[in-house]
Order: sequence, then structure tokens, then C-alpha cells
Amino acid sequence: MLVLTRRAGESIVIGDEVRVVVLEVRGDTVRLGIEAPRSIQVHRAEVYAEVQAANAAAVSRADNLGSVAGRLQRMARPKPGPPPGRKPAGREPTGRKPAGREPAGREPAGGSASAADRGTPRGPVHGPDGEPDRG
Amino acid sequence: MLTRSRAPASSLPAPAGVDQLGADAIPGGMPVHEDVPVLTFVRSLPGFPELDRFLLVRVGEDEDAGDADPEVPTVLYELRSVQQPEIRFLTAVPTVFFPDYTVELDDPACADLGLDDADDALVLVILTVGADPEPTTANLVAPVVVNARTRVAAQVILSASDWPVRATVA
Repeated sequence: MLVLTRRAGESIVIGDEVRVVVLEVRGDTVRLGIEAPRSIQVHRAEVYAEVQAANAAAVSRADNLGSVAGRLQRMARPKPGPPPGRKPAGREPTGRKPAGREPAGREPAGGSASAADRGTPRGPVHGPDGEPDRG
Repeated sequence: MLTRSRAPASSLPAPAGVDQLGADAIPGGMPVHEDVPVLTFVRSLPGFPELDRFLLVRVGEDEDAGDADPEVPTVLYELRSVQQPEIRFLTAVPTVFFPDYTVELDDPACADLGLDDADDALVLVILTVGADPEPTTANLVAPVVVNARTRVAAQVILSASDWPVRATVA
């Protein structure tokens, strides 16, 4: 492993396109700024490892998929009442902004940010079983 | 053009040049509808290098509804690798199970996906089916975002968020 010593404000380059700047050193915490082309994904190592592991665990086995799918579908089915989905139903008002779930330190949402937020199909779909546990 | 609220990607007409596989081409047990869109991922899924094309298969309308009602939104989709058909992910439309879940894409992610209209985005979360009695969980920190217009997709890691990687669904 190449080992370099840098001070705050100094940087290193990796190849032609990646630059890592030491922004601040405080105690045992180092803040880094990374400039890289969009094609190069930059993540905290532990987050990426966690997603890798989650994906590996999520690969479905055919045997129990059917029953679980059926159960989830029933959870998602609207309660008895007005016939569901007869019009573009349950569509929330456009222009709705996500609220109350703004984690600290997030970049302010730019024009196209949060594009996906309103993009999921919304139907009359509220599980009858109360609040899901967000673990 | 169909409205996004009730017509997610799989019922959109195939854009020119996009592969379209018929149900006959797909082995496996889940109910399959006539037209199955093929998603092209801008990069492979973490942990699955080289897999970048997946069928987006609707799951389960047939099971207890008799004739599928095209106006009832699909809740579950299966992502099935084109390159390795045995690799399959069960995914869900998250708002059904997590009403307060939101996904904020930064500009590079939107650019990757060619998304400039939120209505083009289909957000799916990957489910890990728990072997009973373990719960089924959803990965909220790394949703799959699909540009329903172009069928370009990516698993986006929401690094700045604090959504869990394993949120209990059921």
C-alpha cells in the first residue's frame, strides 16, 4: 500500500481524473473531499460492503417466493371500501416535497434532485397492518 | 402516454431499440405477462459484477385476483438477470410498505439515469425474503431507480441518508 503524509488543504491525485483533498483533521476524524468523474462511484467502504452483502442475501430462492409474494400482496391490498384504483387514485398532490426525513448534512436538493420521490406509482395502497417497522 | 400513477414501466410501450422478450422466453415459476421490459443498468449491482441487464417481471396479480386489474397498481416486481436467469431479486414499490419513504437523487444520479422528470422514475426496493420465522426486509438505503421512459436503471446508494439496509416489511 502506498502511504503518503498530507496536511489539511493538501491533496493527492489518483490517475488523471480523481483528486482527494484533506479538508480538515480534528482528533481522530479526517474530512476528505473527493473530486471524481461521475462514472466513478465513491462510497464509504462500510456502506458499500453492506449493500453488497444485502444484495447477496436478497437473491431469491424460488421455493418460498410465491407464498411470501402472496402475503405481501395481501398486506398491500386496500381495505374494503370504495373500489380501488378506478381513477388515477391516491395520487398525492404534485409538488409535494419530502418533509421531516431530512437527514443532517445532506446536500440541498437541486432542481432535479428528489426526482424519484414522487415517481413511485401511488395507488390506494396503505397496508392495513399499521406502521411498518423501519428497523 | 399513460400516466405514471397507474402505469409503471412494464406497461409502457417499448421505446425503439429496446429489447422486448416475450413470456415464452422466460423460464421460472412466477406469473409473467406478455411484455416484459428489459432494464439496462448503468452499472452492475454491488456484489454482482457484470450483471447489468434485468427483466422487470410483475409478480403475483394472478394469484388471488383472478383476472388482473390493470388499474390496480403492481406492488411487487421481480428483477431477473438476463445474463444469469437464476439470479433474481424480489422488489417492491416502497410507498406501499413505507409510506414516509422518500428517495432524493442528487444531480449525478439523475444524470446517470437521464431523469429530468420525477414522473419518469420508478422506485423499487430490494426485498430479502426471510426464511420463516425471520422477517422479510427491504433495503431502503440502496433502492433501484428506473427511468420508465428509457428503461435505464441503477441501484442508487443513498449515502447521505440514514435509511436502513434492512427494514422489516413483514
